[in-house]
Amino acid sequence: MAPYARMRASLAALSLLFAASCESPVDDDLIESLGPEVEGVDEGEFHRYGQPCLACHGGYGDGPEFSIAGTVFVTPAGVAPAQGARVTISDAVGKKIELVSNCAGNFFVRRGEFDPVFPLRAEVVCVERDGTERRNVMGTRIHREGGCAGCHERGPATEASPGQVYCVSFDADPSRYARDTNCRGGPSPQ
Amino acid sequence: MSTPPYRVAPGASARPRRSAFAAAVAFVALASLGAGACVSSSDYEAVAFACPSSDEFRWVSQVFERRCGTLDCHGSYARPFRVYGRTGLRKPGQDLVTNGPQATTSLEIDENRASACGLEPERMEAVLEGEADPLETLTLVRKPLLIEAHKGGRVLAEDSAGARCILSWLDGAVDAEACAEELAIP
Repeated sequence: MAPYARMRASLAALSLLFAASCESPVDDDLIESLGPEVEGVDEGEFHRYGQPCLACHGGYGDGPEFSIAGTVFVTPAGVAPAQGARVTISDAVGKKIELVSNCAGNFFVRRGEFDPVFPLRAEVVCVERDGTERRNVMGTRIHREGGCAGCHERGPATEASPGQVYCVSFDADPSRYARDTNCRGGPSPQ
Repeated sequence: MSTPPYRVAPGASARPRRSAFAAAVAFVALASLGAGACVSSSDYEAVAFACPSSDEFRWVSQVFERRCGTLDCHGSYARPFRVYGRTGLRKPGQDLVTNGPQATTSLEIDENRASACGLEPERMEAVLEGEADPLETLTLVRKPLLIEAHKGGRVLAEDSAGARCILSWLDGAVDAEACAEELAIP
C-alpha cells in the first residue's frame, strides 16, 4: 500500500474509532464497570442483583429494554435480597403497575408493557414470613431514572445516594423473609 | 542535510513519508488544539456574578430541591445547575447523607443560590438590572416551564405557585406564601 493511502486508511480508522467511542462513553464506562457475570449465574431475571439494570436494559445496551427495574434487599447494608416484595409504580397520568420481586430481589417490566410518563411515585410493600407487611413510600418522585440503582447504589446511604432499596431499616434477620433456597441468583460483584 | 528522523524503506522515497508524517503531526496538533479549546486555566478562575438577595432564599431553595434536585436530575455533580438538599445530593465533606436526619444546611442553601445565579451570570445580571425579562432570558426559568426544551419536561406551570415563588425571588422579594403553597404539593 502506498504511504499516502496507508496514512489515509489509518486516519479513517482513527476517525471511526473516535466516532464509535463518542456514541456514549459514559454508558460504555458504566457497563464496563459492572464487571462480568457471577460464576454459575446465567444472564436472565436472577442475574446481577443490585446493579443498575438500565445500563444494559435501558435501550442502549444489549439486553431487552425495561422501563422500570431494580432490586429490593432486606436491610440497608445486607446482601440478602427480599423475595415477594410488591413494588407499585404510579405515573404522572395515573397509570399504575405492581411488580413483584423474584428470589434474587429483582423486579422489572418491559417498556412495551409499561411506558410511564414521568414523574413517578413508588412504594414497596415487603411481606414477612408471618404475613406482616412493611410499606415504604419513596419520599421523592422519580423524574427520569427508571432503574432504581441509578440513584439507589448498593450499601447504606451516602452523600450522593439514599442507599439500596430495603424492607426494614434495622438489622433484621433475613430469614424473616421467605426465600427460595434454590434460587439461581447470586450477588453482583459490587 | 540532516538525517531524517525516520527510516526510509528500500525502494521508497523520503518525500511521501515526510508528508505523511507531517499529516500525522498536523492531525495530533489539531486534536490537541480541539482538546485545549474545551478547558483552559480561565475556566477555573472565580467569576463575580450578580444574584438576588439571600433573604428568604431558603423558601426558593426548597422549591428547587423538591422540583429540580432529585438525584436523577439536578441533584448531580454533573449538572451545571446543581442542587443540594436533604432528599437529594448532599454537600461533600459535611458528614451528610441523602435522606438522612440532617435538614438541608445553610451552606447547601447558599450553594444552591450560587448555582442558580452562576448558571448564566451575564443574563442574570441583565434581569436584575431590569434590562431583560426572566421568562425570555433565563434558562433557570425557561426550562422548568418548558418554554425551552427540557429533558425533565414541564416541572412547573407558568401560573403555578412554584413559578411565582421563583419569579418573586428574581424580582427582589420572595413570595413565601407561594413557595409554601408549592411545597404543599407532593
